[in-house]
Amino acid sequence: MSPERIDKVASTIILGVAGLIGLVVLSLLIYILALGIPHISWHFLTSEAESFAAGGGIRDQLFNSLYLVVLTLIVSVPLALWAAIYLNEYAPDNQATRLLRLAIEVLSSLPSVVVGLFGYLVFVLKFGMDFSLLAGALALTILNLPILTRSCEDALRQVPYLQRQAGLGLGMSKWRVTTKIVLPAALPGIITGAILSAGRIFGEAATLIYTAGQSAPLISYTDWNPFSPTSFLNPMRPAETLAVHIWKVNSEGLVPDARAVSNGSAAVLIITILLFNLVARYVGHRIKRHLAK
Amino acid sequence: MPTDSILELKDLQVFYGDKHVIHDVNLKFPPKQITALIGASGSGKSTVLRSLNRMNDDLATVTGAINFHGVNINQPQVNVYRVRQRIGMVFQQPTPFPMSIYENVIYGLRLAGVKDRAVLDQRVEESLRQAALWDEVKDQLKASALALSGGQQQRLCIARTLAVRPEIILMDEPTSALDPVSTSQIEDTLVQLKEQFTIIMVTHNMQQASRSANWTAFMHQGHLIEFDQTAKIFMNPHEQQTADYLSGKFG
Amino acid sequence: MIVTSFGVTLLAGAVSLPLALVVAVAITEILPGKVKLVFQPLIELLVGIPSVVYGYLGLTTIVPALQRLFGGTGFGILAATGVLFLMILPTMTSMTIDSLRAVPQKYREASAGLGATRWQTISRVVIPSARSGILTATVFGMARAFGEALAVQMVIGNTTVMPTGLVESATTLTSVLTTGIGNTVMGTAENNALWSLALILLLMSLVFNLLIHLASKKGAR
Repeated sequence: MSPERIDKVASTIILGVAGLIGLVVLSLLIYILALGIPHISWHFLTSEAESFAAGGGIRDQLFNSLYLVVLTLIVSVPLALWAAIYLNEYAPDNQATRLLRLAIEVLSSLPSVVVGLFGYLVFVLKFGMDFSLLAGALALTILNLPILTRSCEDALRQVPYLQRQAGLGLGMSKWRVTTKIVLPAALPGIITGAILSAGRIFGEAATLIYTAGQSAPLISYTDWNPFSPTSFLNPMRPAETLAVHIWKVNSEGLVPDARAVSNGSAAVLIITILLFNLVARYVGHRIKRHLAK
Repeated sequence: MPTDSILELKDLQVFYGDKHVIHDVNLKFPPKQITALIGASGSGKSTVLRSLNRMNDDLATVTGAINFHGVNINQPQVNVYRVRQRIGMVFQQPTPFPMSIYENVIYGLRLAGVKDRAVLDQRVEESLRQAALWDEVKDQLKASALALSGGQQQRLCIARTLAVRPEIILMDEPTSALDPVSTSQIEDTLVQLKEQFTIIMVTHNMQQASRSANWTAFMHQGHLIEFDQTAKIFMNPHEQQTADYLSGKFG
Repeated sequence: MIVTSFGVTLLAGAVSLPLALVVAVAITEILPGKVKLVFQPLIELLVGIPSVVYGYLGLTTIVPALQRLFGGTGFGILAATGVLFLMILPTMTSMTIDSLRAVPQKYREASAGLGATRWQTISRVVIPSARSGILTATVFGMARAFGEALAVQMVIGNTTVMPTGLVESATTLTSVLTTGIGNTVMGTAENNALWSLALILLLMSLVFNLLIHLASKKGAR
């Protein structure tokens, strides 16, 4: 066969196979959304889950997922930012720094179930937190920290070196340059990174089974005292998230309408992640345009 | 205009989208000579050069005839890959592939399906000698081409183009990324190559054009202003614009 | 069990590598630039979809399909491979796209200038130049597959026997961990065995890390 013919055949095959894969993946996505969306109703989103009977909702799970995202971000954003500022602005280029970077990289590749078991051993058992939102948030922080640190570092690195020099040239201290010049300029990148990582936390399950637990005890949304055991704000209560709920209903659950509940939950999960993605894109875009002006 | 030509342009027009960038270029490139295309940046000299072996196919619309040995190669049914094997191209930046020196030189031959080891070996030595690189690299043919210096890399790229034995070699500012020593080495090489190949090169370096080229074409804002023997263009230009450009009034 | 873990990982990697490469080549080398604007966010979304959803997807589509094709329950290694394949394909594709994009444009021009067709350029210059990036993407994808717990646990069937076929139920390191830890008492031999498994999993992920390092270092040279 001549090279021209091979070129035509190869291009056709590549496009065909790529198109087929795209189609299959897309149709699976649409399939799961189509199964789930009809099941999403006001009732489904606002009533509590049933253990044995049909017709349960996901109110508590949805709230737990969101609350856990907030808790995790509260812990991990400052830590990641601090680590990124140190690594990018202050750390000397030596063996110790390289080791630190390596450690972060290794941390980022740990299987989430391993992180979950670590959290179980340390936070749940050693620190006596029991299955709680706090233990879950701390475990998720371990999972989230390396990725968030890297995206913060990327954002800081995008700030031109000249701007730093200009600040230093004006006699500002390094710390002031970092907080007054570098951080504001890197803010859009940091926010985008945080939102994207929020999406990841939202869907994480394996880390949470043995840290935040798999049960959703009765909680009251009118009890605003975070120290009361039944308050929805209490970080020390066990909490089942949406992703864990899908897993549990399917592998250990006894509800007769497991399929319907999971379909709805999966669709809610995908739609929420999609929203996180869109918001991250929008924020990044918006602030970039704002800066370009 | 030269009497004899290997490549002839008739009413060449080039459009980028709606933008008409090359207007009515008529040119005859004489065989086994060096022709230089000169002009300010943005004058369209590189665009003309890239049209000659249809490297602009995906980027622009090229109309008019490009007659190679009397056959118009600017037609859709012409096999563009065969055209490029006979009209080779050397780029501004040295572009050795990340493979060994040997593999770089025979790249074009492999594309054409040549497998005979003896032929390949012979062609590698011949091409590297023609590009004046053989003595420097003959003991390290299996070494990575990326380890060579910039000047050596560019001569390797010339050897790579020579290996497929084209009739015409197009060169797009082949020395602008190089130091003066490498530049003069390559200019020496060009004079040698002219014995066997037709060379068409774009340059913004006036000395280079006057030193190496037999013929020179001056372009300005997408138009061919003047085309003549190099000596005439430089000593006694016909057009005022050419004289202005050469004396440094613009460009 | 460990054999199953490796088997599932290798199978998923082996299926994903060529397909991720094909999709990446189609997007970067063949399709026009505008298509990228559609694909990029879509792939990002797929990367972000939680693994539980992929597991559930496997449960509702792959398992019944296998059941119809081969009989039996449909749970097993093949179902797990399918789920992991779906899960790591977007990640691997997006990393492969990045490594193909990193190949300098001038290589493609130079190759075309020597008379290469597009396919010749892709197969002889672009892919070899991006080799280490593609390798890194593959190891990364396989590391993720190896460590994935819930998605696998949902579709593999969970029986601690050495599987005899691809559609037989089986367990992996991670699936046994997720089901076992909660159902055994701390300090018993069974529980201790599970913690040892966790250690093995941890060590394996370090090995994958090392491989990724080697793969990307090889390209840097």
